[in-house]
Amino acid sequence: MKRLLLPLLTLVVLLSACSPAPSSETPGFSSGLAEQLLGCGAFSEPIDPLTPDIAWGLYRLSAAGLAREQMTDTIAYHSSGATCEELSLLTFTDEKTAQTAAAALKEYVSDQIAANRDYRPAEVPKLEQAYLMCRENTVLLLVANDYAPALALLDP
Amino acid sequence: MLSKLLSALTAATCAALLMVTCTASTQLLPAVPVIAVPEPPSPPPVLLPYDFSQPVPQSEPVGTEYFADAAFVGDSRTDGFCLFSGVGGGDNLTATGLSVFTLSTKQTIKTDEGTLTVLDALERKSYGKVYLSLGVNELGYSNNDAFYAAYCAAIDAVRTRQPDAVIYVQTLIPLNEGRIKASGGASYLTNQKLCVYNDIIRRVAREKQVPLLDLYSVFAVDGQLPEDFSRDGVHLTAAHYAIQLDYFKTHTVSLPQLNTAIQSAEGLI
Repeated sequence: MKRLLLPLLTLVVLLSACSPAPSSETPGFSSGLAEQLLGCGAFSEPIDPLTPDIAWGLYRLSAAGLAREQMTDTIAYHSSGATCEELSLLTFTDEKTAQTAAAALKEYVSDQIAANRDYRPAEVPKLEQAYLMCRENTVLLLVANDYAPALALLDP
Repeated sequence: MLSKLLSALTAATCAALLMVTCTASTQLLPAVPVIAVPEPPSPPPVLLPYDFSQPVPQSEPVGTEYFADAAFVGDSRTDGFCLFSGVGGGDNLTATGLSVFTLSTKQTIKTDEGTLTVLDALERKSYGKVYLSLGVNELGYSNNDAFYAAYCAAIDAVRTRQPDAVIYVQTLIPLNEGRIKASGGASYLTNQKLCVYNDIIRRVAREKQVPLLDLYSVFAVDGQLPEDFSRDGVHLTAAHYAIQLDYFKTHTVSLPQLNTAIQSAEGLI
């Protein structure tokens, strides 16, 4: 049953990325939410901040056709190597750009799964359950050890 | 007796003259602003004949702009360096789990031309420096000769693609075995084996005449990576990658210096 559930959950999460939602009901992700997520106990270790330029390169947003100035705000935290856990809240000039970025992040997560399947298999389930969503002009990526406290904040 | 007296008298006279001169200078010369005269550039820190199995000597620190034309080739530890050290430039040509055995086969570097091996990615532009760090993912291999041969072949392959670059090789940063055990890391990750590989890397540096950066010595305390430098015993924590960057900044070799070192190692000068 678990074998069936995991891929299904992954599919739901990945498919839900970039689905535009009515802005009146679901405003963009806020920096305050990102701060809450960092401290909610979702991560198995402290994760460390990335500079906006490093995050830009990591997610290959240039290759996705975006210009650097289209990413207007960045909150990005990443494991320094012990795990694959990370949290990124990227803000763009508009919703369409955010959707393009979310597609790039979706590919990034897929690449991470492929890279770690043999090397660090214990990290793969975290990646397969990655929370990736865009709301308005923001994109949120969460790769966590324990999704329950994070989801309680994201979808109360 | 007379000579001692004369000697003392001479010394006293000299001291007195010096005092008079200094006093006179102070009193007679107008005050002028002190202008710092830049010192001439340091001579190349190359000891001849150069021994490539020894680490690059310390040099004047360079700025991060030095790394603008650098390629960082390695595994996840080098990736961590690129993400967290603050190096601010250079290309990240790293892959999780990369080894000297998979350098030419593992297709992981995403480019506009598709997903390439590290070696193929190296061919896409000209670099001034290539920082190569591999070996941790190979610690489980028992054939040291194969590791040596593969490392030599890796340098040849990089040199073929980047003939005008300074290729730096690095000894492996030590592990913290306590952390590895606590986090369920592989049992083959030991500092004993890592030191065997570091000796091989020194031998490779001498054989292939490439500058050696001795990161092991930078980080090892009693043969271990200090516990608070890593959460899993293998990868540095973000703050500690800055130590690696500082070492890189203060241990550089220019291409002319390298060529001189190669000539001296070959007995040509």
